[in-house]
Order: sequence, then C-alpha cells, then structure tokens
Amino acid sequence: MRNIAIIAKREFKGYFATPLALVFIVIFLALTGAFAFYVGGFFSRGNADLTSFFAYHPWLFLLLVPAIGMRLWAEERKSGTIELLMTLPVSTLDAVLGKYLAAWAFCGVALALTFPMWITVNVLGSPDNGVIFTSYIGSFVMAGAFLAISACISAMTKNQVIAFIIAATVCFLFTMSGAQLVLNFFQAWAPDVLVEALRSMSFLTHFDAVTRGVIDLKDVIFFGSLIVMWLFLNILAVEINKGR
Amino acid sequence: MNFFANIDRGKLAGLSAVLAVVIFLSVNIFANTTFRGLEVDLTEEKLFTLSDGTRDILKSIDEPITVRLFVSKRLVELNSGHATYADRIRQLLERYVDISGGKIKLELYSPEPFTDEEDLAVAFGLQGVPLDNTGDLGYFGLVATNSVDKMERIAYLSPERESFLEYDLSKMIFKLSQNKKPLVGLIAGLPIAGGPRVQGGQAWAFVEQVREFFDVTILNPTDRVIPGNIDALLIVHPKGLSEHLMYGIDQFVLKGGKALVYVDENSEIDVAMARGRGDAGPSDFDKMLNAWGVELVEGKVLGDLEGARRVNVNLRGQTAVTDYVTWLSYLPRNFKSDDAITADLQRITLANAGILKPLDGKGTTLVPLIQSSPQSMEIDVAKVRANPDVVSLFRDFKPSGKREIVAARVLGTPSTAFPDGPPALKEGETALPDMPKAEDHLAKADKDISVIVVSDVDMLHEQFWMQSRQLFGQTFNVPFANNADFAVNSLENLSGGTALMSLRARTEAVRSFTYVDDVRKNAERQFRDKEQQLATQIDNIKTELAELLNREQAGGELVIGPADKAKAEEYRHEMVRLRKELRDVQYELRKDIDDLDALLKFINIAAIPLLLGAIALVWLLIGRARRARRYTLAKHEG
Repeated sequence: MRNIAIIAKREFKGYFATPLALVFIVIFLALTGAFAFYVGGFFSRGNADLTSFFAYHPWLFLLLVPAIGMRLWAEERKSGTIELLMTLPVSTLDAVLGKYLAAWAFCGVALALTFPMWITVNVLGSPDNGVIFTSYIGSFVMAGAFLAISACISAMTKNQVIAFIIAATVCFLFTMSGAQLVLNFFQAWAPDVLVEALRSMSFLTHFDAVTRGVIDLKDVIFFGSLIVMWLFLNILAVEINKGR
Repeated sequence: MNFFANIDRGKLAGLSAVLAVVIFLSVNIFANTTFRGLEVDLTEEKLFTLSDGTRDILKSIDEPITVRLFVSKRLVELNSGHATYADRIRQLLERYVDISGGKIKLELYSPEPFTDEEDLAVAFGLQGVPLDNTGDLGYFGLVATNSVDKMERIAYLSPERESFLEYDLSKMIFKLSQNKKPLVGLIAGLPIAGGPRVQGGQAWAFVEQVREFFDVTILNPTDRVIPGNIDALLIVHPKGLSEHLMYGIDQFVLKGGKALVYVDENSEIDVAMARGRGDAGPSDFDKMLNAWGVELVEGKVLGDLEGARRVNVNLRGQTAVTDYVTWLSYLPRNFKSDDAITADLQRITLANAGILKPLDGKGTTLVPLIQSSPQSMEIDVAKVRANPDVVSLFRDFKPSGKREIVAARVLGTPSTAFPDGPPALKEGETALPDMPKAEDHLAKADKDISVIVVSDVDMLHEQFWMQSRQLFGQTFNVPFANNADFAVNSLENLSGGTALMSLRARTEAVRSFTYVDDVRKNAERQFRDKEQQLATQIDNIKTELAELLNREQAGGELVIGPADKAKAEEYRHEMVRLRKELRDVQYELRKDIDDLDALLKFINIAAIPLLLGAIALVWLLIGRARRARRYTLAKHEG
C-alpha cells in the first residue's frame, strides 16, 4: 500500500516536470469548452444543464486519454528504466496501480479545471446540481476506464505511437459497441445474447445512464470490473515482458 | 502446483487473460439480469424514484391486476432509444409487481408478424407501427385488466411521454383498482363539455382528464336543482345561472359541499366564441363570491413582468418577439409550496387572469395557492379585450410591488347569499320534488367550507397547456403546463384522495437561463421606448414627405421647385438617419446577450488555459532566476 502511494506520488509529480502535462490540460480544457459552446450550442439552447458539455466527453477522452496512457509503460520499456523499476523492492501490482492512479488523478485534475462551466451554468440559471455531480463522477470513471485500457496496451509495446493507436482503437470499439450502426451489423446473424452483451459493453450507454442523474449498480459494476480486468491484463503484460 | 510450475509462463499468462475476460463478461451479464432498480437517484426532483403515491396505490390493490407488455423485437431494434425505453418500462413494472406483493401479474409478449401474439395485440387494440415497406407491423404497448375484465391500455408507448411513464402506469393501476369514481357536477358558461350543439362537438381536453378520475354529470345554467348524489361541483365561467341554481350552490357549499370555481374578468375564449356579443368576457358570479368573502376585481386583469410569456408580434410589418405581460407562465416560485395541490406543480400558464382580493367581514380568509410576482400590475380590461397592443402593454408597465392572488382556498364560515331563504318560484315555474326546502335553509356555515376559486378560465383550454403531436397517424398529447393537473388535483383534494397527486406533476422541469432572461428584459424595457419614439418620428417624416409630393402633383407643376426639392432631400436624409438609429437600437437589444455569450465563451474556453500558461511562465522564470543565483553564488565561492 505504501509502495503504491510512493510510486503514484512520484509519477504524478513527474507529469508536471515537463510542459507536456500543461499542453494536455490546455487542449482538453479548450476542446471541452469549444465543443460545449460551438457544437453543443450550450448558450443558444438556453437550458440550464450541462448536457451539451458532457455529451462530447467520451469522444474527447477517446483521443486524449490514450495519449496520457501511451507513455506509462512503453516509455519505461524503451528507455530501459523498467528494469530499474523492477529491481526495486516493489511488486508489479504496486507499480501498475501506482502508475495508473497517478495518471487517473491527472485526468481528475484536468476534469476539475472545467469548473468554470459549472459556475457559469449556476450563474445563468438554476440547474439540477445532482445531475451535474453524477455526470462529473461518470465522466471521471469513464476516463479511468479508457486509461486502464491505454495503460495495459502501453505495457505491451515499446513504441508509444503504436500504443496510442491500438489503445485509441480499442477504446473506440468500446465506445461504439452500443451504437445502432454496430448493433445492426450483428443483429443480422448473431444470437440475441451476444447482441445484448455487446450493447451492454458500450461506454456510451453506461455514461448516458449516469448523466441522467442516476447511479445504477449495473453501471458501477461495469466500469469497476472493466478497470479491474484491464489492470489485471496490464500486470500480466508487465510480468511477461519482464524478462525480455 | 507442479503442474503450473511446469507450463510455460507465456501460456499461463494467456490462460489468465482469457479467464479474466470470461469473468468480466459473466459478471456483467449476471449484473445486467440480476441487479434491477438498485440505483441512487441524485436528481433534484427524484425523477427516477418511485413516488410514495405509486407505493400507496400498489399496496391498496385488493383484486389481482394483469399487466401485459407487448414489445416487438424488430420494432425495438429499429431504434436503440426504444430499446432503452422498453428496458426501463419492464424494470419499472417488475418493481410494481414486487411492491404490490404479487397482486400485479406481469406478462411479456413479443408479437412478431403472423403470430398468435400479434393477434392478441390487435385484439387488445394496440397501435401497429410499420416496420418496413412490406407492411409488417410492430407493437410497443401495454394492456392492463382487472378481475372483472375492466381494461386500460396504452396503445403505443411513445418515448415522448417518458417523463410521465410512472404517472401513466400508476394511473392505469389506480383506475383498475378503484371500484367507483366520485361524481362531479359540472356547471359551465362555455361549451367545455362538448355536445352536439357545439361546433366540432368536442369536449375540452381538461374535461377528458377530469373524466379519467371522476364521473362527470353536466348541469345546465338553467337547471334549478343540484342532484343530491354529487360529491363536488366544478363551476367554470358561470354566467346566466338561474336563481334557484345559485341558491342550490349556496346551500351546497354552506352544508359542506366541495366546489372548484373558475371565474374570469376577461375570458379570451368567451370573447372569441361570442363574435362581438356584448356580454362576453367576464363571469357573472359576484353574488356568490362576495358572500364567500372573495372579490374579483372589476374591469382589471393581471399583468406580470416576471411571469410574462414570449410571443411573436407583428411590429411595423416585421415579426418581433416580445413579452406579453398578461399571458403568464408561472413557476413553483408562484405556488404555495406546502399545499398538496400545488406542491409538485412545475408550470401553470394563464391568459388574461383576473385578480382576487379578500373581502373583510365575511367570516372567511383566503389562502393563496397561485400568486403573481411583486412585478405585477392591474391592467384595464379594455386594453386587452380587442386587438391588444402587446408592445405598448410591455412598454407602459409599472410594477406595483404587490403579489396578487390568482387562485386561493376559501376557508372560514361565511353566511348565505340568500338571507331571505330560497328564491320564490316565478310564474309558470313548478316546484321540483328535490328542490331545497325553506325549513332546511342554512343561514351560516357551521364548519369550514371547501371552496377553491381561480381567476382565469382560459387556462383550462388546451391551447394554453398542451401540445398535440402526430406520430404514426396517432395523436399524442404532451402537456407543457400543469393547468389540467391543477384542476384534477384540486377536485381530488377537495374530495379527499391524494394518492396520485404527488405523481401527477412529475414532469422534467424545463430549466432555463433565468439570468439571460433578466438581461434581455432589462435591455428591452430600455429600448422599446426609444424604438417607439424613432418609429413615430419616421412615420411623421413619411407623412410629410408624402404630403409634399402630393402638393406638387395637385399643383399641377411638373417640375419640383428647388426649395421643395431641397426639403424633400432633407427628409430623405433624415429618414435614412432615423432608420439607421432604429436598426442600432434593435441591434442594442441583442448586444448585451451577445456580449454575455462572448464573455462566457472566453471564460470557459480560454481563461483557464491562459491562467495556467501564465503560472507556468512565472514558474519557469523563478526557476531560471534561482539557477542563475545559484550559479553566481557558486562562482563567488569558487
């Protein structure tokens, strides 16, 4: 437990040693704001809610979170520091969790810095702050899910670019699996159980449910089990590659 | 253990990975089918939590009720929104089954074309929806029956009514579990209950809504007797009631009868239907109201700046949007929040409402249920009766600072409006057997009366609270205000039931940018004056110019004199200038809001990034300075 905290702290500080983190946060903030106002029509809709703000989060995370996740392990493997890390008296589990938590906390910081949106909507009208609260939680947890996928894939390759592309693709599949386009394709031949399972794997479906203002146990289990599974795969990937 | 030690690490990892994925899938499939309705509802109005009203209804069921849900798979597949909605309905019904302790039975059907299940759906009168161009139909509806085969159905579960889902379902159950509806006597000065003599013959939608929960019997204004079996009176725009009927109402109320009364000082609907007949507009009920200690202020309607609705008006040939201060849209801040009737309402719309005031010395008090904002004003009826000038009403508005009453409960023990007892029979009238007798005359109520008075009749007409949408050739009514709910709530409250009340108004509240509205209203108040002046000036110049040209032509001169020419030129210049100024003013109307839009965009898109950039820069400079100092120190020491 202590080891996890130490690693997480070190990693988290590491983000701010380079301007990369700053650039990431700036891009994220500018895009969320711009999407909400220009694409979602936040102001012209005149509704005191943040629907137009949260609606684009899955798509922004789809590109930005793999960008954070890609360097988690690939960089260490390329520079060889992974060997150093593994000689330290920490278990693979500690390292995986520490790195993951640091990156997730970083996503949390980026998300928290969108607070002017929340202030704005409260000045303009009286929104349902319960809904906004669950939406933020949902957005944060979804970022965590994207991140777990990205971290695991980062551990499988030395090349950050490849890690990014594969991670973004897998995240895309998880996001799109609930879309009608995809389901229609499967409905033609696959059994109902599979189609239903596919639909229930969609980030969009679960995120939409949360942004209504309801936290359902099913959604909690989905995101929780997804994160645990990918972190487990992440540990396996690190272990396998230890010797190579 | 040896076995694991012997196999290859890579194979072991692969095996674990497969196992992890399998566990992940099974956990989620298990969760999806097992954990239903385990959720935390964090919305302010608890939109997704079963209300106490539903629980009460479900627990009070005596006889078993069967609910059949028809969902065609192919129909649902066409639209993923339908799939989610169908899931929600099924889950909700499953919770109904749980709470009812098995009194409700749920049966699921998936009617596909040319099956028995489709025949069943058709037999129950469900609405078929074309699946594709082959003419195959899909079904998405609900039928509930009780033990005596009374049936309630929703022919098509339109997702547009999703926010009313619980209400619709609970209402079905409630109606099936109820043995007998209370009887409401309807007295109306307008043809609201429909009938062959009325053009179109259709009853107003709110009457249909009342009929869902009450049996309604129509009393004509000329009737002389109120039947003894009536549980409550619904009186709408009373006009020309016979003296005997008035006396009947008087005694009915004093003896504890319930009454919901809608009166008006200017009923738009009445005026429109009368087509110029002189007496149209106000109700004629002052005698009774005054006896109950209520005054409907004569010749005035209520204006309210805060509650004004936005309407399109034709302004000098152009369509403009402005606030119509006598068409009001009232929100919870206008309602009594701790009265069961109004507690859960979201919106009430009014059109030319009257103003109610308490009268002293009648032994009663008024408890307001709906009140105006302090930004209110008494407006002369004459100004709104024919072709109201919406813009000038807005421009000339002077808020009184008083909150006026639109709807109120009347409490207390008033005296009769007929101190001399029952009105005498006129010539040619014969006594009816169940007419109130002189010896039963009650001069003063001995316990609190149950009366609710509302000062607007137009609010009951569907054009002010409901939208109809066409879908698959069927009409769906989607209320945008709770006007009918207020009526049903009041009747239900007066006659003692409350179960459905908490449910009725659970619409998803439309939350708007109130701040933007305020900014806009301020700007408009400032500029409409200016606009008016400029418009008048332009009109004047136009007339003068026209006169000048006419004079020239009348004088028979073919060539315009140099002086006139100069003058005409001057007028044209002036007109161009004024027009530009008017445009500027109209632009100013938008400017404050556009500025706000721009400011918010800046704050939410650029402000934090800029701030972070600045902090990073300062950090960098401090770091550099520190390093430089360290370097100098080192050199000195060195």
